[in-house]
Amino acid sequence: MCAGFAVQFDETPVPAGEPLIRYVHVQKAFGSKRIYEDLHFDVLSGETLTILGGSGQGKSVMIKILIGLLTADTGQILYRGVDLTKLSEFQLIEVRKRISMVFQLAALFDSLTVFENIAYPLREHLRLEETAIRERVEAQLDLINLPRSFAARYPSELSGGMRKLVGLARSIVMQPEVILYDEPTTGLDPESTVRVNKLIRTVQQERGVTAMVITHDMGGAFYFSDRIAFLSGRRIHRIGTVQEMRSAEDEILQNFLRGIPDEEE
Amino acid sequence: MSAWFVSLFQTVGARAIEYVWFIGSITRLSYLAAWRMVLPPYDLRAVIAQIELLGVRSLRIGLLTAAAIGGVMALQFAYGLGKFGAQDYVGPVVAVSLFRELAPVLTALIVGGRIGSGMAAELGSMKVGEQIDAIRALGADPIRKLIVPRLAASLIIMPMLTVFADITGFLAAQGLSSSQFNIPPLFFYQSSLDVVDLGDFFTGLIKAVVFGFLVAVIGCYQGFNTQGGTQGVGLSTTGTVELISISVLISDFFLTQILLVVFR
Repeated sequence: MCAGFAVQFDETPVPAGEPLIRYVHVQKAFGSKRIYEDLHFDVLSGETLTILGGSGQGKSVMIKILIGLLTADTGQILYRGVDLTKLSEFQLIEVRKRISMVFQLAALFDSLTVFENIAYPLREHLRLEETAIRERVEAQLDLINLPRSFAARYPSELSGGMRKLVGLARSIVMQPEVILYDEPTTGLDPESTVRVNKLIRTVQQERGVTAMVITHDMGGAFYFSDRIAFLSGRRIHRIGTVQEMRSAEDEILQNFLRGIPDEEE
Repeated sequence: MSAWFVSLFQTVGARAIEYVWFIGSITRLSYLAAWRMVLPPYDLRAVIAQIELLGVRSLRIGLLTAAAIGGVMALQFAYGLGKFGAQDYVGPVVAVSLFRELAPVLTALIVGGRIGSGMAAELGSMKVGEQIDAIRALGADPIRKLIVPRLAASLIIMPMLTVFADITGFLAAQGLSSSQFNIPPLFFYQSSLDVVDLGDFFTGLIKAVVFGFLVAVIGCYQGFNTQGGTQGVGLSTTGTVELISISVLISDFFLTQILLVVFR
């Protein structure tokens, strides 16, 4: 594939439960610090897969290399059969229309209003009339349960929870096939945490999107996940359904779920 | 002794690699930004916003600097040339100094430092707040969105501010020469015009364009490469002022050599 040409994806719907994204023997290091030795797992179409793991294990790196914000050293990341690690920055634009990301700190643009933040990808990629943009932005505001009057506010005028919700609205406005959540509830109060967790599940159920969620919030993980992957020892230590993970006879996993520190970390 | 030598070699080598890496990275960023600047789409609204933000708000400090330098130059030359009975030449000497050297260089050092550090601080904050990653994640191009408008604005602002500095500095010198040394304003003006030519004017203007490029590229590069939270933003900002000052002074030396040949 030439680095200069737009990438074409097979538009055939991937049946629920079939692999949509595949991490194939991915390795990554920052200088002398090795993050992954052999990252190898699938993300199934239509599922919400939560990645659990201790701090500094490279959970956020995992989703950043998926959309090309970071590069893998070796291995492949296949999305609809296309190896994303081989794509140029130009080709990744098409990937980023289909796979969106909700950032840990929301990463809203300070100089833009809530409305303009949500409308940003629409203006960037679609040639829509202003009324159509307004309709789509207001639909997102309704979905996240934020009064439409908040559209004129700037991010600095919002609470942490609201910022996260607006970040989520901005990520789903293009109706992506996959959403990546980077610690969506970190730093939120319990009420906002529940609100964000419910929204993650609502978006998955109503729109059928595939989601990868990085979180430290166990309650949330058990609430919205179809499967959980546990990252430990620079690889996916165990992956399975919520029930399988909770009942697994695996000391490392159970210690993590109970909050007992890992001596190796 | 040999261990000390090895250590010295390693330190110097590491610094050299760091320096080459920096030059390579900043050259690459310059190329990418310049290429995107000439290719459509053009976001004129963003460029105008940057001109307003960077240029208009820098006008006051730019003019104040030029007026002060013009006045001080007139004082110094009137005093110095007066020793040789050559006070009549204050106008031409001040004008040539201002147009060729002082207006573009001081504008770049004072205003450029302000503009470049502002860029580094703003983009650095965006970097540590993951806003630059967010632009990429939303399928947009951060170089086109953030660097191109600033670079274009800087290329327009710096020559404009330099011309304003030329005029302000000259008028300040004229006013001071007239009030303190009884040099008639019309004579000051006429004698300067007899000596200063378009080459002097364009020398300053070309320098200003180059300095404008350096200011924007260094400011944006520092912002895009900010690491480590708010402390990193602070380091980027102060580093930018230092880098811009050094780059302006070094490039001024070479530009002067070249432009003296071109506009001899």
